Amino acid sequence: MIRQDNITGKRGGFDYTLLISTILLVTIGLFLIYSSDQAQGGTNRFQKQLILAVIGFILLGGISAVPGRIFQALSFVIYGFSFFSLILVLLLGIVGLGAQRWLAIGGIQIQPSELAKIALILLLARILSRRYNPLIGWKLVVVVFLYGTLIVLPILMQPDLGTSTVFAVIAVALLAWHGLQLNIFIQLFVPVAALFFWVSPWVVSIVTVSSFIWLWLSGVRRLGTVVLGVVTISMLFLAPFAWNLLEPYQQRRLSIFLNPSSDPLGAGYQVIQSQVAVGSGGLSGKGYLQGTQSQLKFLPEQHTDFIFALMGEEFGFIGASVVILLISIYCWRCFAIASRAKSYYMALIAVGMGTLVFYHAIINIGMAVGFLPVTGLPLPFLSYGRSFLLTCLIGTGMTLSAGLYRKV
Amino acid sequence: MNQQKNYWWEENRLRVFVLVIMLLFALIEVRLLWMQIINRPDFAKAASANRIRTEIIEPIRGRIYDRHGKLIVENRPSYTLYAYPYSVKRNIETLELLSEILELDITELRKRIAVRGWNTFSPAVVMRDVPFDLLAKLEAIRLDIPGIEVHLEAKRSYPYPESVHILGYVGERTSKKSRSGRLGLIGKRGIEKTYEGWLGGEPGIKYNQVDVTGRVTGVLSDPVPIPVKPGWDAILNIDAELQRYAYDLMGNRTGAVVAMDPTNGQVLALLSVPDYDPSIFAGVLPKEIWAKIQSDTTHPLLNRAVQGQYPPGSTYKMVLLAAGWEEGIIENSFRTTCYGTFRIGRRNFNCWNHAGHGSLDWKESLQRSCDVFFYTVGLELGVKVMEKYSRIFGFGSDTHIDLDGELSGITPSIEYMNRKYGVRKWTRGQLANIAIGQGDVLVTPMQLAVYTGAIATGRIQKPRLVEKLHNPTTGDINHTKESSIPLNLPDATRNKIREAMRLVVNEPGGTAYWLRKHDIVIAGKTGTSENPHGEDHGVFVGFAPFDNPLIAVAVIVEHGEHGSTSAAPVACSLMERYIHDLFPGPRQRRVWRVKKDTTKTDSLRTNEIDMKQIGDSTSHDTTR
Repeated sequence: MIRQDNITGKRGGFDYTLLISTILLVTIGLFLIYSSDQAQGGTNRFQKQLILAVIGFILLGGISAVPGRIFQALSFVIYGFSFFSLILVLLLGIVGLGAQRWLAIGGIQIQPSELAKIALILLLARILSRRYNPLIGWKLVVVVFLYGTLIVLPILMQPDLGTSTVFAVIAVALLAWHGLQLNIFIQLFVPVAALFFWVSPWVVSIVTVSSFIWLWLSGVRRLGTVVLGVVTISMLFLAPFAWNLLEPYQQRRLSIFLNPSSDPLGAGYQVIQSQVAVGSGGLSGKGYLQGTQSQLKFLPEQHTDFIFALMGEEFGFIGASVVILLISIYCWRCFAIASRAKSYYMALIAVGMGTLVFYHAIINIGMAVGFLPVTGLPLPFLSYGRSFLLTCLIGTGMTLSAGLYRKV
Repeated sequence: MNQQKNYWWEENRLRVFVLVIMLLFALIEVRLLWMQIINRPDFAKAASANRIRTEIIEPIRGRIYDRHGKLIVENRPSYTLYAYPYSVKRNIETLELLSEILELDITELRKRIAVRGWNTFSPAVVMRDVPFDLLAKLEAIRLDIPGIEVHLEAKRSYPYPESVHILGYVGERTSKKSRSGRLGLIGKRGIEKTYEGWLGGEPGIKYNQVDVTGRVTGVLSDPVPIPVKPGWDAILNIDAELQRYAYDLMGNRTGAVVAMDPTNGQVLALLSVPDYDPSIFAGVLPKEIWAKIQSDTTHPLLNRAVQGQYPPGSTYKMVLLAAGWEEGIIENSFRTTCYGTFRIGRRNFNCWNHAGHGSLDWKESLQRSCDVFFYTVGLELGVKVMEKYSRIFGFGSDTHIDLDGELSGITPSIEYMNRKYGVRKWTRGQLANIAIGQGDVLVTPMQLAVYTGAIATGRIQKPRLVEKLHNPTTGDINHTKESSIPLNLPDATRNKIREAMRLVVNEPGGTAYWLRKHDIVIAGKTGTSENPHGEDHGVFVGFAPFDNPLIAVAVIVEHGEHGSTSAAPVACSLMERYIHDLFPGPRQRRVWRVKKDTTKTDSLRTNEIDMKQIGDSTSHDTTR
């Protein structure tokens, strides 16, 4: 336990580091949204986001005082509510950006898929923290897969591939934290890797073959290996069909990611302009409200998907690094809280939140710097998007709550 | 074992998770470092390219004035239709709409919109001088079709179109020449071409900041904009009214008129007819019109004054006279007898007067233009000597007038004759022909004017069309250099030739006696330039006033048959008009005397002249 102390730092009490990093990130986000308001000329997103941030922090404060068992009791209720609101979106949602994502209630648009992230974290935490007759091995995987699929399916149907991956990553991270055997992970991973055989045959082949060797050596039964092999090979041939199942805009995004200059004035435009914005920012940026890419609207979606590029342009390498540092601190605190929380259920919520924020951040920033394809995942705390901001702040409140009750 | 593994994991899972975070974020940081620090210049350049739209401001072309400040070429507003290739070329609907409105073929339209200059972001000229009805139609649809613009620009207009061969015209820059990426018009011929560097000005560059929709949001001061430098105005030596008068005198005849001031080389009038309408070149020239001009058998594009090469005919005889005196062949007692024909070998060479002139001395021979006299002298002199004196008068080389495409004629030398006919294959007959300015001798009207001026004043002047260039913004003035070389001929001989030329117009028996003026003494020489393709050309050279030459003229009327009846009246009327313009007042017999200290013609213009009016009876040095 001594080593654990070294990493988690100060023992016990309210985690001010987490709260302060959250406040700083939201503040930076508000500044950037104000800047993009200036660029767009006359939008008032800043005010809307500010009001939501205030409400969110009030909720955060309240939730951080709520004991974990309350959430535990409500897990299934919240999950069910989330599921039904997602179904509602499919039935009478608002269409935007080629997908049905919003639900309008009394003039306020909410995005149920954001709240569903919290719902899944709560539910999975509940399942994994079961005291009596705990699920282990493949049984656990199957249960998690079923609950996950149930809530992801309506989102996939919207369609929203980017958000769907968040659920998968959260599930994997929670299972990993829970200590699921490595061999099971490998067996899960190999067929998924096979899907990408046609993108990069050599890498996939090497990974797959070495995985099989590893499994064989670590004593996986022969039958299991054969089944896995069959599944892997069928995945390999299913990949082109899966590609056809993707929406045209998703296919375009993926192919543009692979070759951004293929259509500089068309769909590759966003990727190129974002990189130009970041790169031209230099060490210290062009100055607040001085970014040419953003203020002259060359940077698309600068208040949501490409808000990091706005940061990179106006505040340069230093500003971008500060954001990355703050998010790193946030995630580190989440996992640190998880490792010392008294309640295993609350610990898993903290892991889920840390994963949620980290995954969003890495995908969003990776997209802004041209590492990853355009997925439309917002940058936590910074991007304009009130449902997501509220989700993150509520989750942060839960994590803070988790930190209040520590192990001996 | 499973239990143990779980313990290890519980102890280390925080580290593993934090390590994954750090690794992935470190990757992002490396990427940021690469983008924002190492490759920053590239991205900054791309960002600038996004927002900075370079706008080239075409300079206003310099105007052209005549010697009295009359506008000969001015700029008038005209609308030019531009299209941005990147937004128009791909768009079939826009193309169809444009082709419908402009009544142009789509392929032709595509050709005009082809990418020119640096890139697809610089506009291409679709149509210059868009007429008003089209303009209205374009304005109506302009908002619906992106990528077309109508700009107000200056177009050349010509209040004095008879100066077209001097002025030349402007045309679209060909893509080969626009390596600098510059668009717009360029001088293609005449002064517009030779003074392109002055008239053209230098385009300015304005850097506009645009947003993503292409809307201009501001003008940048960094990069520093380049101010536009308008072209310099050119002030010509041409007298536009005199030019117009010459044009009227020529009527619908074909030929050339050159008038210059022999004291300083100022070209007063330079005309070549038929001519063409310079304004057709200002827009995009329709192919049919170009083809029509090209195929016109009268060659309106040819500037006959400097590019037309004609046998000088009898106007060449002053060269023979000069050579004869200098070489000691002619003296006052030297006479020939003309029976109307002259036998060389087995051929008879006729004098133009088949009846014969009888016995003539050198003076009378020039006055009456007796060919037999000059056959005799020419055969004595030989090709080599004739060539020498021909060159003294400036034949066979450029006059270096500030016009493009000048030709230098042909002055036959022994080498030339050998080359053309073979060694010893040419005969004394050909020599005799050269002696009367026919056959192999070819001169341009411009050379004839310089030659006449040299006889008049003793200096070979470099003819100048442009007197000075004036910068309209700074007011700077740049004078063209006056340059002349002395005629390599003793004044005594030159005065003898002058006297003989005076007799041509002012004494009975002179070939142009019928054209004498009662108040101005004109000296001149008629000529008939033999033309194997048709009627002979009429030629006349002359200068006036005799005592104080202020104008030297050369006129060629193609197919005018006799210089005396076709070219001489034009030249004499022109000289008369010019002198009268210089010295307005009652048309009486006068003697012109210049004050001794004022030698320049400039002073003449300001009337610093002692104009003694003398009655008929007291006239000493003018004709009767």
